[in-house]
Amino acid sequence: MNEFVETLLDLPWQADHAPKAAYDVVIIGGGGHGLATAYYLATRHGITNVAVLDASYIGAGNTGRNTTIIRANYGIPESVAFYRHSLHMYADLEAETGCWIMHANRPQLWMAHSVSTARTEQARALMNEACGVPSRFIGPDECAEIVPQLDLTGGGRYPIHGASFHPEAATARHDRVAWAYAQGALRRGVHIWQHTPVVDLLRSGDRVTGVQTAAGPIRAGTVLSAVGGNVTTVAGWAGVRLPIRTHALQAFVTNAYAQEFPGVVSSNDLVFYVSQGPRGQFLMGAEFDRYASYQQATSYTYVQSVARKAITVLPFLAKARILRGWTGICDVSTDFSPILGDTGVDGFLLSTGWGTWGFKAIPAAGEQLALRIATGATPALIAPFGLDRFAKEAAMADPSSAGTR
Amino acid sequence: MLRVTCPTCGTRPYEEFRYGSLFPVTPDSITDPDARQVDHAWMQDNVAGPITERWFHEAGCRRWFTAVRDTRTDAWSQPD
Amino acid sequence: MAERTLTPLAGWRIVAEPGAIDVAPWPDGAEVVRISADDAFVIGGAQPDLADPHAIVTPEHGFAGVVLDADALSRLAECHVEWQLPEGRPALAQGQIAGVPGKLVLREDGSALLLVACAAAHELAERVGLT
Repeated sequence: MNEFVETLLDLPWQADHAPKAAYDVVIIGGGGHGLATAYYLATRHGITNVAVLDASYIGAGNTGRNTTIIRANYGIPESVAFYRHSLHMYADLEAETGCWIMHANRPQLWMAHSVSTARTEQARALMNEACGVPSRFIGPDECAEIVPQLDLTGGGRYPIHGASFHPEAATARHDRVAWAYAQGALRRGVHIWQHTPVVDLLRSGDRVTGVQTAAGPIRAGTVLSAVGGNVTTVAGWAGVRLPIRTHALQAFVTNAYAQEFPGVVSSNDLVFYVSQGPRGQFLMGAEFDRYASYQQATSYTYVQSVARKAITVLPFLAKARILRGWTGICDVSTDFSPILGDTGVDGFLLSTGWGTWGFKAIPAAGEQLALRIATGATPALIAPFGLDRFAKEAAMADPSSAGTR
Repeated sequence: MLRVTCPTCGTRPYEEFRYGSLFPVTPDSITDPDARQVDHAWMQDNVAGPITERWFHEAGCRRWFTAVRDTRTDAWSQPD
Repeated sequence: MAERTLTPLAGWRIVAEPGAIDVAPWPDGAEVVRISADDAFVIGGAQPDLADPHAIVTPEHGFAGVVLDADALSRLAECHVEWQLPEGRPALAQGQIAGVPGKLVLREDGSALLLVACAAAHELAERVGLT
């Protein structure tokens, strides 16, 4: 056994128990967001009469299908404040949960290959610095000092004009984040029901009063939907219409590379990102597929296109071999910001719009939604991200910060 | 991998095409004009099933066409 | 075997009612490439005259072409075309050839005229090994 062998979480009581008839809180979706909310309900507010239901195993959806990058350099102050909080919570998560999540500092370079994009990245750095996220614009020479593997000519066609530098960025092992929260929640009495698909919501008048599962109804004081790509279906049961479109996002991983690769390299012009995982392999991703899709299928076209982009600025990657690829179906919101909290339907809350940027937000979103459920009041940190922002003409448009637009 | 069928040229790989858009439909149940405007601007049907879309065969005949695709299976069917 | 060089072609580009293109009297010696129902590229010959009063007929110098014999065509299809060529002849096939948008005018005698936008001709020639 080495430290990278993964063991699935032990859920001993699941085999011979059934869900209770009622819980204070039922969370649909056992991904990072659902489990973190359950964890913070139990640890911060003593609310333990909580069930997390998942149609598959926990972390089977987008929590286990991302590229695990944690960063805070977003494009609007409200987002920077939110993701900055999440970044700091991640840094403390191992101490908080007592679980090793392989958290590692991986500074991010967001490169520009043209003069106009360099201005965009300068603006990003200034804006983030002003919002309390240490950031600065660095020139090509400093880029090469930080990441010596870069080809500063960009294959002759995409010369590196500089990058916005985000030294606090990090990565963590995605499954372990889900398991850390699940274990912490379980120890405090939260129930986690795997392979328990929700097929409808229970309603009484204008209120959501529980969920209908394949095995029977479960009543709940509050129902939180923390599902990914299928959120439109769940919200539809409550009569809530969402600004969400489901797109497939692909990513892949190469074999191991012995040299240390010091950070996360992203490109604003080429639209791709590369980072090195703890086992030395490279994780790569790019934009989500343009057309709407509910299919977790990968495509050769995509792998070819991302590989070409990556080799343009990191020629050594041409020697790497692609081991695995995977696809998540992402709940992409039309303004590229999350949708959190109240829905206009009593008893029904949402955590959605995580699109291709949800992993980094798990701790903060879980903590803030737990606060909302416990107190009934929407905390200031997530107030700008309510579903009602669209009708109030206060959309949080931030497509260029996703890195996957 | 997605393969798209152009009515002029036949079935080709996805990369020959440009994805246009789908047809946004604001439900009749929304009657308030402001609410209809918000719905039109932001909300999505996001159907898990057959949807009607526009595609452009960029590398072929360079014509726009309408097609119906199932978002769960990528199976194509004829538009009405 | 024909000379294997992509050379610019002179002809007429026609955008008109499909019915008018269907019955147009094409000039002698012209080869008609029907790009879509309302769009045709006529290679060579005098300016065509169409029954559609709104027809757009303009000189077209945007395509380069090369004639491939049956062997060269099958080699090209095998190595550089990721989709199925039509069975029947004559036929027009349009799509990416070695990643470049191109057209193959498949003739009855088994040969084919490979067409590509002049701007991409050099790129295509390099990719498929035409001189």
